[in-house]
Amino acid sequence: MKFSIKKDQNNFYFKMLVPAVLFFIIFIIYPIYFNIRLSLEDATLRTIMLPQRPFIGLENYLTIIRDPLFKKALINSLIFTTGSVFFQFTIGFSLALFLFKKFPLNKFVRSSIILGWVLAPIVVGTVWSWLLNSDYGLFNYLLKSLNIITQEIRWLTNPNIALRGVVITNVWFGIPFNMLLLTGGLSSLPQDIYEAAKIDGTNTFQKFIYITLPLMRQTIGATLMLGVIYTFRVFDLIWVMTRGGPVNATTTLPIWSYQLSFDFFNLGEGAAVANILFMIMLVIALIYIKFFAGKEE
Amino acid sequence: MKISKHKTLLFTLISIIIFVLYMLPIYWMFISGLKASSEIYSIPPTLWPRSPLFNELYNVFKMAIPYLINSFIIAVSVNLVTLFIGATGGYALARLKVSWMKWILLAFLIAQMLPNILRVTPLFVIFRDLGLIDNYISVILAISTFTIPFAIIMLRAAFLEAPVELEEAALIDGASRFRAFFSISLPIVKPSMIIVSTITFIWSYGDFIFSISFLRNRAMQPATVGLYNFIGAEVIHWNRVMAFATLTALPLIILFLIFQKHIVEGLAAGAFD
Amino acid sequence: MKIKLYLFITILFITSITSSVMAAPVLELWEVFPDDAHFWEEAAEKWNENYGDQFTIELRFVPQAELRRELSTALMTGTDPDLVTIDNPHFASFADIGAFADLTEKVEEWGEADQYFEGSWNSVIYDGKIHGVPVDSNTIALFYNKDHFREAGLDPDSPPTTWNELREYGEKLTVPEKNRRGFTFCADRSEEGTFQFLPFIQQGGGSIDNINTPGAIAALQLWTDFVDNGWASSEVISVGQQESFSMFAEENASMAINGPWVLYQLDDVEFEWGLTLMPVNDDLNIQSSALGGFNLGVMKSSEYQDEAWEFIKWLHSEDIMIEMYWDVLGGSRIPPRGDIANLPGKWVENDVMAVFIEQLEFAQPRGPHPKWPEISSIIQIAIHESLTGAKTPEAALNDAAVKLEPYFE
Repeated sequence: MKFSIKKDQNNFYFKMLVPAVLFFIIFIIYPIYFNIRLSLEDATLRTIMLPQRPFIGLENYLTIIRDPLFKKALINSLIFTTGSVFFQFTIGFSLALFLFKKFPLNKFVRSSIILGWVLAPIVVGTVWSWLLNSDYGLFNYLLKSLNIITQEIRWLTNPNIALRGVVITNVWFGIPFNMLLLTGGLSSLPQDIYEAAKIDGTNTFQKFIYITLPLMRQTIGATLMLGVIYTFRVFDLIWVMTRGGPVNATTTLPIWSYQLSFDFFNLGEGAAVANILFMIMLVIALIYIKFFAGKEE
Repeated sequence: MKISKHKTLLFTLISIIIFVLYMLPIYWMFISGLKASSEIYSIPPTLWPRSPLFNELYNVFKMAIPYLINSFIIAVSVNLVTLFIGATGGYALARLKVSWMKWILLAFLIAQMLPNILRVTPLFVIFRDLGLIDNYISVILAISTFTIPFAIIMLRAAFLEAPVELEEAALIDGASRFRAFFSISLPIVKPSMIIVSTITFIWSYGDFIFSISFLRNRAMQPATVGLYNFIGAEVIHWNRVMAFATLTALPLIILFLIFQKHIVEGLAAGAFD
Repeated sequence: MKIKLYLFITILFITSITSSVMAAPVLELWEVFPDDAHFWEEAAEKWNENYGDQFTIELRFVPQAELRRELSTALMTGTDPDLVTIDNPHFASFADIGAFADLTEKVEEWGEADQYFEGSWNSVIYDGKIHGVPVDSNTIALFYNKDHFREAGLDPDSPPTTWNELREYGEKLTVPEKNRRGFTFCADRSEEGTFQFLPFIQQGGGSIDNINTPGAIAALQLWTDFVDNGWASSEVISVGQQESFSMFAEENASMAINGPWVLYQLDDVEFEWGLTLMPVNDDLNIQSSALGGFNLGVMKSSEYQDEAWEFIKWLHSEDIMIEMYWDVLGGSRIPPRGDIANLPGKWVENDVMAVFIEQLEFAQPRGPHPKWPEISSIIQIAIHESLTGAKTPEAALNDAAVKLEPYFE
């Protein structure tokens, strides 16, 4: 019976997709096209007012890749993203699971944790740069009072540590997002399987590994994927805290792209960096598609 | 089966510790809003303002209200658009059994990848041509360009995880496909819808770049732009910025507290004993 | 009946046309000062009240960080305003692309250009033409805590005048037990860092196209020594000028380099403080300071260039300038015109402002150079490399000199 209704089944779904696709073409594709074109042009403050900017092919990309800052920015981006996502996800998942249990205050604590993410990046970045300041920051003050350290830690002004400082801030900032999505996933899980498992005598850990994780596969995949994409794009937080400094210790690809486009007004080069970032994320997205969308569930 | 009393107490204690640890920066933001300008930088740091400026808080509060209203207008509108297109699109992608469906999914992922700041100029060109500058529609559409793909991706996952059997049963019973979607499938993914709605709301409430570029009329600007009233070219009144930020966050906490009931009510009882 | 209807419509049509012709033009002005005691709001209101029948001024506040981006997008799409305020070092990049109307003739006719501080006026000149007018001027000088001086056995009335004295005082004033550093300044990874350091380069006989003179290297060595010895905090590389000054206001630093915009932080302090000129290099004795402040440009695309110029002339007339800068702003900003700034009974009566005005005589603009942001970034990197110990001051400035060469060919 499924076979024969497959055609109109698909027709219906296609119709449901129409609004999304239309919207997509106009408002999403055009900006992407715009930026690709910009990266292939000699686009600087001098040329933006011209009706037609000179086309220079891949020259911007070559300039970018040859710049010594490229390798540094790329590595910083990779460290920043993997570090952030790893901790955001694990802590977020732990909190989602823990606060899912029924006890007083679980809902209250869950709502409060959202707060971190609700604040504007400029506010979060500024407050954390105060907390991490080596002179007047609360962190060093507490660490010293508890005798954990004797010498101040220069969280944001030591080039070797600065990246860690911004990762810590970004982890705090990203925990709510992960926690929320995973809570949503947990809420949708069917209860009968757990009932059956309990009767069978499986313990908590086994339930988690063999029931929860597999059932939450799609949600976990989507959360990780989105987490990676959003973290790669992070700009405001780092900009407010260090502007990519000290020297270039916290310059990631988005920071460099912004600097090129909106400080130096080398819009072509800035777009090229953004497109390279884009391509990296594309690769990750393709991996996601292969593992989470190749099969039917 | 209920959790034992001891465990409940333990969990509550742990949650309090988690709360305190996580909220520390929020607390810091709040008290900074009450400190005098340079006290924020005192060595050693003061855990409570020397003489809290509640007066300032009140002044900032009065100033914030019109901006907060605008923030809500934008956030609610984006939410409606996003949930509609997100639910229909996510459902379609989940149920559509064609081999090239994954490329559509990829396309929506790609939509998320361009940093917002690089979208401003091209979108400005489009909206100016459509005469939508200084019109909320431009901001709503611009924000939707990243909330909709997100909603589609997340709701697709939710619809995939939801049992198809109930839907099929309804179809066999004679319900139309749309009816099956609306009355059966949609309620099943309600928790995910609420989560997606929450995240969409927070994103659109927190939009800055599109609002500042497309809304030049001060009366229309949301709180994220209003914040910059205290961020001047040479002087930044951080205490007022923090006070304003605290007030901006307040409505969202209240909203979320209210809506949270719907997520976990009656679900997953005893799943993790 | 129909005739009456047609007549009515015709009259409506005619009156609407004539009224739109008669309606005063509206000039859009973009500004970046929300906090500045409503300077622009007052100015626009005043103009609109008195001369609104000629044309009105409508303001758009743009956060400073977003201004250049907004302006470039506007230029790209032909939606730029009539007037815009831009931070003076960035003025040249826009002048270079011809974004501004050429005001040279109008200014010559007006004849009051030579009343302005030389540094300020130089920042609006590019390629031999005048592209705008300075709107305000400020500079930096040396603040010091007289009470701390006394505690350290130093004479509160003779603050350091040379780099060597600065170093000596910095060391004596540093008291770790009291969380007190001798000196604070701003060296962060932004325009503010370059703003504070460039004068020292210039005092060292250097300039942006000759940045590694021995004097300049000595300047960077001075700053590096301060941080290395703990006489200044290592956090100077990550805080802005305002935060840097808060160290001074909280008595965690005994000397500070900063400008008049932070004076409000000293309103409620309980210690005695003073202000003096920037210390100079002992051997070279060159006075120099940074030039801060904004310029106002009329956009070339504006249909109302003559009107915009009328507004500018009005704003910069002696009466209005005194009213705006002295009454409205309470004397907290210095007008860009030397003749007005030096009027007896006003700014010069205030000891603090008098020092800033004197210092302004030696203030030099940054550039003007159309690629100033890149030049500034190279300087910031050199400062950071030296202050974090990644390179010696000499190596840092030599490398910077090499990177800067292409900009001056």
